[in-house]
Amino acid sequence: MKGSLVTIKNVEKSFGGFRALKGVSLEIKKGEFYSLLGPSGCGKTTLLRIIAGFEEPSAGAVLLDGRDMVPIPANRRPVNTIFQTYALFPHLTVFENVAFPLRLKKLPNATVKDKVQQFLELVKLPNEGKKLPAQLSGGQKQRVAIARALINEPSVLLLDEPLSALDAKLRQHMLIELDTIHDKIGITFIYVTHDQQEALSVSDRVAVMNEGEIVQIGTPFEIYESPTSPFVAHFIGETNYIIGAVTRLIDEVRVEIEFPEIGAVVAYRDKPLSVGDSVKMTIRPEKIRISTELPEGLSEKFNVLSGNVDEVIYSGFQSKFFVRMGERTMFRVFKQHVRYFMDEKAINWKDQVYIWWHYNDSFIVEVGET
Amino acid sequence: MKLDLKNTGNKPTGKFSLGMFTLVICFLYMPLMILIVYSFNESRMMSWSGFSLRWYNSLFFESKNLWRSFGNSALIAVTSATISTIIGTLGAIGLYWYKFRFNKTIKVAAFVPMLIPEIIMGVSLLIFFAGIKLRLSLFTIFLAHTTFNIPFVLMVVMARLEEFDFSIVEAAYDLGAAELQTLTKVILPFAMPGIISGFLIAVTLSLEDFVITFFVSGPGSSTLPLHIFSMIRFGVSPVINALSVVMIAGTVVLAVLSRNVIKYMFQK
Repeated sequence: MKGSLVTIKNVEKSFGGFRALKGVSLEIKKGEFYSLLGPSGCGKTTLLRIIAGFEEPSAGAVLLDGRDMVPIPANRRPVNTIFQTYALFPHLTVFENVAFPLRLKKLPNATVKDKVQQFLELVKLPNEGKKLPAQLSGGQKQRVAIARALINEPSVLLLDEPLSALDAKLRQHMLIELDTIHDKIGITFIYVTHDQQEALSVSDRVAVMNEGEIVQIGTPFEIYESPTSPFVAHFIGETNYIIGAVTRLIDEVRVEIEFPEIGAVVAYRDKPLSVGDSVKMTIRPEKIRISTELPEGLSEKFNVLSGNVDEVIYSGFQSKFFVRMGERTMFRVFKQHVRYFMDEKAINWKDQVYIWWHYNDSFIVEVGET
Repeated sequence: MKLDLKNTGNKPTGKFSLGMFTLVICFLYMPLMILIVYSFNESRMMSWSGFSLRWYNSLFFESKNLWRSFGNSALIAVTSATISTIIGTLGAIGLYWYKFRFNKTIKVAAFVPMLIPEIIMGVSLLIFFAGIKLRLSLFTIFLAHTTFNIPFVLMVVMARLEEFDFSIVEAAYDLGAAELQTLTKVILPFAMPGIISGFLIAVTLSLEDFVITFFVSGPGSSTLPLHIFSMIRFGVSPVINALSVVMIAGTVVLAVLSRNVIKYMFQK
């Protein structure tokens, strides 16, 4: 494909009898911040290691700028990696860690000094050059690893769960910083993570992986708002599923589905369906509104149901409600606390509540057998 | 009763620990003290008859054979420690770096010599040397010492490498280092404290070994422990006391020196 920098074609990898990658194909554009997202063991790290050159694919091709990378060893590929454990050289100072690739090239001292300083400034550590890695905090080690990986000016930077060893606050901060660095130097980032928040917040595109296969590729918006499979819907964020049967195709964009214990609900129709199909419908908890009073003046585009609050989880900026619709059906509803206690009556455990959502927000992720 | 946990670290020693301390001091250092005192004794007997340096005189100027044995010991210690450090270090790196079929088997096999009683090692080496018709000499002692030193170096260096995150090796590759550069610029510097400790252990073990050396030494290739043993057969000579004092002093100086050198090298 034209315009893509990294091309992965039908890459397979087996370890013994275990198939870690089952024919993965990807196109990554120049300058893209591309995430490989999936649960542990889905093959995302293996794929990254194949791109880096630490593993050889059992089959398939890895092209960089049209050049086959498979026969080229890791130390001669124009890609660099940031490791989960940072992998700094413990016996070298911060300066010498960052200078390592330049020293290998035997560049003159003055050039090395200027360049290392420039990259230490990029990662905001201009004065820590003389320290040893053991004297640095986790976030600082991470920055050194970034500077070291970028100083060779690779055409692709590979990041293997780089933030997983940091605490939540710092992670957020480093993520923003990574994004800034990406914008500044403009090279391609391939970012491996199991954290959907991370992937969604900085990526241009995300490839969701599961069991050695890619299940969906898209922008963060597409991945979150229109997952194409129950796996993606479930893995990215929280969601509600219900299984029902199609009773009526209302028009081009709407379908009526009958659910046990709930009744008829209107959902968005983006798949070929026919009456009688068994379908799995998903609706994100934050898209559902909740109140103890029946809302007035709702248009027919909204689905309105009623149930009882089974449990309330208060978590500061929002509350999670588990609303029981019947013996086997429960809805998760998230309510943001815009003006808590001020705009309406508080919702408590065992209250009878109404929940409603726009039909557009509920859609079908799986069509099963009738 | 309230236990003040905060202060237990600085608490003055109790009766039990004081007793233990006294016992350890008595059994560990009293014999050494007695030995040092008697090395300055005028008399050959175990009774004090006045201060004298005659045993030192006799040690330094009238004990040619003893010094020749000492020279042999030093030569063997340094050479066998050097060779076993090289082999042991390379072995440890190889076992750490490459995962191959007999990796585990080799690891286990390498440690067997550490567990085998020395006397069996000695006998088996003797039979082996006899079998290949190798004349017993300093060279056979060197071979034997290198053999039993390798597992110790291997173990110490491997213990150091265990702390090494393999991603560091991958990082070196990733940043453009070739295999040899990774070895010399990353792995060896990291393993250096382990390599130095391994070398020092090997020197010590070689210097003090008696049992194995006894079996594999030939005529005219006596080491210091063998020589001392042969001297004692004709009664404890106070020259040995004097020699012991010299060796204790030497050991203390070396220990302090090596500690400071290592400190200087790695904690700068």
